[in-house]
Amino acid sequence: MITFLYTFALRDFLRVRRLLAWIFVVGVLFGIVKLVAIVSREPDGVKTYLRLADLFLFRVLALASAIISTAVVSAEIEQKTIVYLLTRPIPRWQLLLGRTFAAMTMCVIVGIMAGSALAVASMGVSGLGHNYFHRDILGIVVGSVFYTSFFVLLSLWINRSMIVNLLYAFGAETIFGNMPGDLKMLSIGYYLEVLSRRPSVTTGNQMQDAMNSLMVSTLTPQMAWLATLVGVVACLVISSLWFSTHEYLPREDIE
Amino acid sequence: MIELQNASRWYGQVIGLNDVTCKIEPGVTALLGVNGAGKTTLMRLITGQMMPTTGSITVCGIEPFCNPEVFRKIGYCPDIDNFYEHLSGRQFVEAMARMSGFDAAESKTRTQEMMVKVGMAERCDKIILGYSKGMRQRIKLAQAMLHEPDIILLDEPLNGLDPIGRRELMDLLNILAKQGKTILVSSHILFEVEQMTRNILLLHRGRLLASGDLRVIRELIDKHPHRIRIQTDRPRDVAEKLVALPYVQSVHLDARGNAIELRTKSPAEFYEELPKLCLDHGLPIEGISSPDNNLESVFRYLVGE
Repeated sequence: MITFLYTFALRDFLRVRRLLAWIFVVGVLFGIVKLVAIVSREPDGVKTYLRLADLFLFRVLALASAIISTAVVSAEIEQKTIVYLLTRPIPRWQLLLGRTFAAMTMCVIVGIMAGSALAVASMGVSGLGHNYFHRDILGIVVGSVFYTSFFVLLSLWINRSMIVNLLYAFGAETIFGNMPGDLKMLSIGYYLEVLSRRPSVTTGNQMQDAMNSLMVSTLTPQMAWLATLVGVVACLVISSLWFSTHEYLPREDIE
Repeated sequence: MIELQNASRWYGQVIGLNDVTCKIEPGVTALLGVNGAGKTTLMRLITGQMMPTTGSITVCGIEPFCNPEVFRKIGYCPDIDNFYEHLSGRQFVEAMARMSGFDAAESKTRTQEMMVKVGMAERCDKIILGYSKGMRQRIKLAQAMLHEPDIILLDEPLNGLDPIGRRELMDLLNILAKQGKTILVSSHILFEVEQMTRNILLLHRGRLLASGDLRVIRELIDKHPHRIRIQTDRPRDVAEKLVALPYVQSVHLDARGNAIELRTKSPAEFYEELPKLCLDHGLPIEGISSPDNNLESVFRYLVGE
């Protein structure tokens, strides 16, 4: 049953109109990176890639996850179509997981599109074969799974969760991600950076470089894997339990 | 089949359903009530979308909330017009069939059968976005009945259907009821509900005002005597004899002079006595009707609106 729910939801996510919206976002990203590459006149495209991947890649992933995750339950409630799903003989945890896995897949697709645009805009077509890009793909896959499971959980707790998800994706992630020391561990993006193992890039600005060196990670990739695994499993288990024991009704006036 | 025991449901400080106890047995039962009476709340409780705040609800002896076992037995046609608009009617119903546990081939077959049954076979390949209200209603009915459930709950199923569609639906429900299915239909269209069934549940402001056979309920309403209209070409003679009966409260002559209308609190006794009276006194009676022995009157009397 999960397989059918997965394909049913994924087909919905991959509708041309929705896909076009993401292609537009990726196109904008491509344009920005190309513009930065031209303006900075950096001869080494790899450096441009590393600097901009730090800045954009996991942000776009967080944005995609924040939006796509709401389609798992929240959008169904808004559109009132949840009633068709909840009155079928399917255990609710299966319903949730099938749709969550589809959302994760969609996030991976958007993330890889964004990563590819970034690699091509900064390093040319050969950037698609570069090792750093390949390592980022791992970060994209893990990030899609982690962000989506987290945002789905939020959407089960909060009405109209899109705004909260976006606030988290842009606000909390940025704030936590720039905190010194272990406080960074509150950011999902931080674990993804550790897993991507990107080398730090000197900016040429002595103050900035000094600040960056103070923010060096103490987290090992093994610990990042463990934290990610625990986080994802915890989010999915709590979401499944919550969704199986709470009411989710179409949003409308009571009768 | 369906049993509610002191079931109440609160939405914060608003009560949706207030201490309802009733049983719904096989056959067609009409769920009546004005907007906000609690009809949809009751349907949602039975279909396991909500839990009662107090009391209990069982469907075939099982609590329905989040219970796939119950959903196998239930077909629910909700009172919403929302769909996956980008899908065609066929794709939607087929997806619902898959979610009901049928494999792809079986889902296709059942979908086609249901499309024929609800009169959408020719039009079900267009996307739902372009459907009229009546077409949407038919698709909702199809998804509710495709897995041949024992219990069918239809929330305002007649809305948007054309007269032919209504007639077809009523015929279909009658056939299903004869097969032993339990069918609960909520509707505002009292005239048509009356044609479907005389078994009603009447909700008002969350409370169950009446349940059971319409005639029995009508007889229990003492506050409003039964009105009986008798057509005759000698209204004064008939009125003179009838007014002498102890259970006839009043008799009014029709302005056109070919009928009388009387009020009685004991219609059963009156109907028993009337033939004898006619024969004994040679009263010419051309027709008898009871203008308030219908669902609309019962509804009005009970709700007081």
